[in-house]
Amino acid sequence: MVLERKSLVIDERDAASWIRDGMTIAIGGFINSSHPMAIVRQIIRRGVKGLTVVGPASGGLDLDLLIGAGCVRKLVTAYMGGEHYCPVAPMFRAAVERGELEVWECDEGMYYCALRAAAQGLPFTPWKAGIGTSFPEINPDIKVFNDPITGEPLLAIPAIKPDIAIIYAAHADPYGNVQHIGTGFGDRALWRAADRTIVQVERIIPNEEVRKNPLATSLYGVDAIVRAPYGSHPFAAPGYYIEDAEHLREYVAAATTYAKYGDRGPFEAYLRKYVLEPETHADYLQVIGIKRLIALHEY
Amino acid sequence: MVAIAREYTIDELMVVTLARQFRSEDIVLNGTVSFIPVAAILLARATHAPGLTWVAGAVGVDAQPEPLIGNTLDPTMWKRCVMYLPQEHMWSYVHRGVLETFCIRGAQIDQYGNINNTVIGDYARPKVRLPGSAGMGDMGSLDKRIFIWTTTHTPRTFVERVDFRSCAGYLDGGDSRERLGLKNGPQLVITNLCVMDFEPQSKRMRLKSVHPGVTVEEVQAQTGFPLIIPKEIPRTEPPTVEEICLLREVIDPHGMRRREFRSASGRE
Repeated sequence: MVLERKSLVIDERDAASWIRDGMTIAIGGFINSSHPMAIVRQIIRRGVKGLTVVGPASGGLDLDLLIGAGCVRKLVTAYMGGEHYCPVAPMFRAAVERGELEVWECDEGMYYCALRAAAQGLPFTPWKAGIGTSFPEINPDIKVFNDPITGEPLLAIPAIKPDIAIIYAAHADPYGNVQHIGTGFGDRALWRAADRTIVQVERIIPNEEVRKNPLATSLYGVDAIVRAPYGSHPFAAPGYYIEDAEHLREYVAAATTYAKYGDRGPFEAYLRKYVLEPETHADYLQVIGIKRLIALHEY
Repeated sequence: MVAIAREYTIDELMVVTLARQFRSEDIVLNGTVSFIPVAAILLARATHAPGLTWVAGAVGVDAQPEPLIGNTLDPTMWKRCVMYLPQEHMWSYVHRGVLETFCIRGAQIDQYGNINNTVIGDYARPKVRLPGSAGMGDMGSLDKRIFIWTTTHTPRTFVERVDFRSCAGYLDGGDSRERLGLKNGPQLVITNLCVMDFEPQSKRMRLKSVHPGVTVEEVQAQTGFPLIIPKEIPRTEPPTVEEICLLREVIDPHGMRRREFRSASGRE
């Protein structure tokens, strides 16, 4: 009798059920690219509350949607904008100005220090950059200390350990070997730091395909794979599609109506139409429509 | 004899002025909504600095993009690069002296070149929450040569003291930066009105040149602190015909550099 390796493939509903109120979760990608949106939308549908979200080093409108939907208590990221769509993410701005969201204020290098400490099982990473800035004054977790060897001032950046990292990539085999197209941004750092990792992909490929090009493997041994074609929409997916500019503008307009004028109506309508009413990722894609989706070709 | 351009616009003058600061041995990276620096990097590479290495979006090393598109962090921008830089790795060797040049804009800039892109008002109860510092908080304390640019030269941008120090400039002036063991720092400030540098002793901002049609009085009136103003203030060196042609026809034919002026006025 031949025993088969266990497939790690689950769907986005199973994946989101791993996320519980109050957890620390990390979400990969970079501003307008490579976010695991099928799972993010399912987290919102489940009504998860009180999350600490470790965003990408530069977070985008993916996190803004989670914040607007009321899932987030605390945010760890160095930047929250939407490139030229909006200089600052609207629901993020509104939540901070209304005192509804705690920010673990850090810069990009500090953010990676916190993840590196978690990955290495250390309480903190020493870091020189950020000396002279306001960060250690307003983030009580970041301490200034003197290097015991040279005596010069350094920052101690404490470990941040996500319970679960949720990452978007192009391909994976059923056994948790993942291949990004393009850079992979900071996704590897999230994977190394987190207790468990779920990876959402465009395509599941055979293990033999992975072995043809092991250099392309960016992560291995992840805990679950979710197949969701067009799953980064409305954001870009390197090698597959570009961002949906029209959709992003629609989102920004809805969110800005709340941030600027206090009217939540358009944002709620967005949430209902694109997140709450479609029951699955496939239902979401149907709302977006095949014409729009296939128009988002990369080249 | 180099032909000087007869007509050019402020965005073009800003790009050309910034481009001339880059050296052929520089490694320069760009961040979000950075059309002016990206255009300047490409212009420098096409003219006096062929060896300049551009790390597009802090991701694609030595990228060779098509003309500028509407986004300076788009994966299509780092086409045909020689290497993808995983972000967490960049922060592991940023001390090695590579990536020694960085361009920064911010919502507030003070007289010592400290920059704020985090909050306006008190941190705990901000009047305006800004997007955050991204990489400037680290870069400012890593001995880099910092070039500051802004398309909104107003007293709201140029303030006596920033509300939050997202990026360390010359701190409280004098030798306060040096005393913390930090080298280099802000070199030049390029705005829609003028070019400024920093007086070597006090480290206070000093007017260097004014753009065509702009007076010294106007610059001072639009700056929220007293500038050091030398007796002779020249006009900002004009672009050459070659620079303008490259910019308009090859590097940025769609005029993406002008988006910074739009997005700046759309801010808040």
